[in-house]
Amino acid sequence: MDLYGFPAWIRIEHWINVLFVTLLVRSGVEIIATHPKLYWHDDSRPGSEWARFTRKTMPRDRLYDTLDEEESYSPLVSLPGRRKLGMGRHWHFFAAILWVLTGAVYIALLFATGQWRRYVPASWAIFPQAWHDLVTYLSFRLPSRLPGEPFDALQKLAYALVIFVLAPVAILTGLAQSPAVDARFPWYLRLWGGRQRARSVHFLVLLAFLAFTAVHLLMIAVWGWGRENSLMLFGHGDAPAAGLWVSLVVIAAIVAVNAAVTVWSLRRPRSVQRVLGAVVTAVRRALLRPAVSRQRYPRAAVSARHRVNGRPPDSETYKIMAVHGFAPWRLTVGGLVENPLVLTLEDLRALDGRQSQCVLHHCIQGWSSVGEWAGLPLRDLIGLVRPLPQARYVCFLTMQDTGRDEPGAPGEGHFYEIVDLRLARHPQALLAYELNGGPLPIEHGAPLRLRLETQLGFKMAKWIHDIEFVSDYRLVGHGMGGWREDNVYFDMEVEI
Amino acid sequence: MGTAGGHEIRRGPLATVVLRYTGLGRLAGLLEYFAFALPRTTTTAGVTLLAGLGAVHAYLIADATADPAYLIAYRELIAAGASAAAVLMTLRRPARAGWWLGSAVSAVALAVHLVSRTAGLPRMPQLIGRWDCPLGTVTMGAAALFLALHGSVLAGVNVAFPRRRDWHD
Repeated sequence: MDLYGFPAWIRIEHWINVLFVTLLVRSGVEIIATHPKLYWHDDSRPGSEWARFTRKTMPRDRLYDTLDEEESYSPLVSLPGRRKLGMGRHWHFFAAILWVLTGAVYIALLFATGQWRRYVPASWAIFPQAWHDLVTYLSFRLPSRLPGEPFDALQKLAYALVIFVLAPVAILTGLAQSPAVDARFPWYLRLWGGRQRARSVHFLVLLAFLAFTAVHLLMIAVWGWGRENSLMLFGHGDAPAAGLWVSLVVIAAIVAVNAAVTVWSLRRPRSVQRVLGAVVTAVRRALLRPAVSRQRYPRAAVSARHRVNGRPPDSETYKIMAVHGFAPWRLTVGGLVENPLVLTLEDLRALDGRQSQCVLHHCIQGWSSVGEWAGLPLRDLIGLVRPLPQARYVCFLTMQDTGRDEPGAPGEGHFYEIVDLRLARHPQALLAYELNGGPLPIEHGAPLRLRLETQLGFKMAKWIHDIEFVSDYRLVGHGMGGWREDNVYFDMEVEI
Repeated sequence: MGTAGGHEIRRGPLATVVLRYTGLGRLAGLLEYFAFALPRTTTTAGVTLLAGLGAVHAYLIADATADPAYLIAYRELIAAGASAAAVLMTLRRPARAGWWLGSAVSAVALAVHLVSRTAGLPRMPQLIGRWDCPLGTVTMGAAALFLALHGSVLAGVNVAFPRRRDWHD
């Protein structure tokens, strides 16, 4: 078998891989910008981070939430930059799907064609050989290539590490950040030492990829840019001049694609949301939608301070209700139902079926906390109001007026979120009125909030006062399935 | 006054002038986005680099006994200095002095290595142009990395044992 030249499929996959990795890295930076702190523990306790990539400090003398901690990075390093988490997520998942597919085809072909021999060491002798190569590099000389192969021993080990260790760890730690995966398979998260350790390892893998890329480019330059690129472009090293120029054209094309998708995302975010969302949602529905939460954290795991996202309603009506223990508050349940209801907080508490669940909260920003929530299972309420056959979605309307309560937010109007009835019937879909054994705190959504344990936090509407059963979410707001979907271009279904 | 990861750093007037007029201010501005709270890891990395530096020089003492006496004495000083700095860095009170001693040792080792390969050292003309010595490359790498690491501690990007971050959020 010829392992010296590169077959066409390896060359094509190599350049496709370069494109996807650039998109993944830049969109990953955009995602981390939204909560630029890394932790080892799942409570994401403020001040306990081991790394931060922000110049911001939070005030000690007034209430702040995690939205205040978001950074705005330059489009030069993030996709698309300028604090566009929704866009960053679309690109990250879209590129990840294509990257994983490319990788799967690559691995399959490697083993089907016997080309795996170029990356998988066949003998322990490669390790002393690699040490010898390292010493040779430290002498500012080039080691010999392995017989009949395009790499020296050290290079072969480095490629094996990237293909068979780093890439799988990147995928697996990415999956560990899915609330649906973690809720359905809590053991999987424990395998990584928790949600925040998985996130930290995911970041460290990014650094490893960047370090590999830097050394890879340096080695190509040292061994001969034109000749090495001739190998990777034409399958032979006989056209170094063409290799030089064509490689520059290909790199320019990759830069151009990155620039184009950045401009598209910044100028036409709704279009990106619809186009990429269609692809990502289809995959997500197939792989993650069936997951049902089986979380049961021990009471000892409850976070001392559960982080918060979003500001409470800043209205006289709400404040008066809060002062009176929410006695004047009413929950209206209506829309496409046989039996519309109006309930007080006492009515809700008096209903049979109170349920509590100690679970991990996943914020879309990346932080997490553990809390024990108690309240009425949503399926019980659904049973009471009896949705009409045409009802397919449940819309949760809140008392938070975003324009008033979060002036910095990119949008106005009352916050709402919509979920489909199937999700609303999940065993751990809960209308929570208690947290950690006490009444639900104001910042966590008092008097009533939603809990959906396979979803990201923003779907779990807080300060709820109205629940409507509807036939189509596209008739509500801007028609994307929720306030954040409408205004910051998040996905409607967020199992990851 | 500057910040690193939201952590305030005090800068004197000289540092302020240097940052403003050398263009290093922009680099410092970029560094302000990075801050790590890994004091033990930082110190372990520093100690490892100094151990590498010391070990190379100790090896050369044993290996190159025919070299001039001043060069052997120099290697003994570097090995002893690197060892002393590494020990001091792990102790609470003298840790900061240990870092400075480590930087001094690294700077000297780096400078002497570069001079030996360019201008040359007395009675050692054969070293001029000899960049193909792996131990020399390790010396340069370890010394340069230690200086960079200490620089990152001074810039507030890293903290070293026994200091800790005082982040509230």
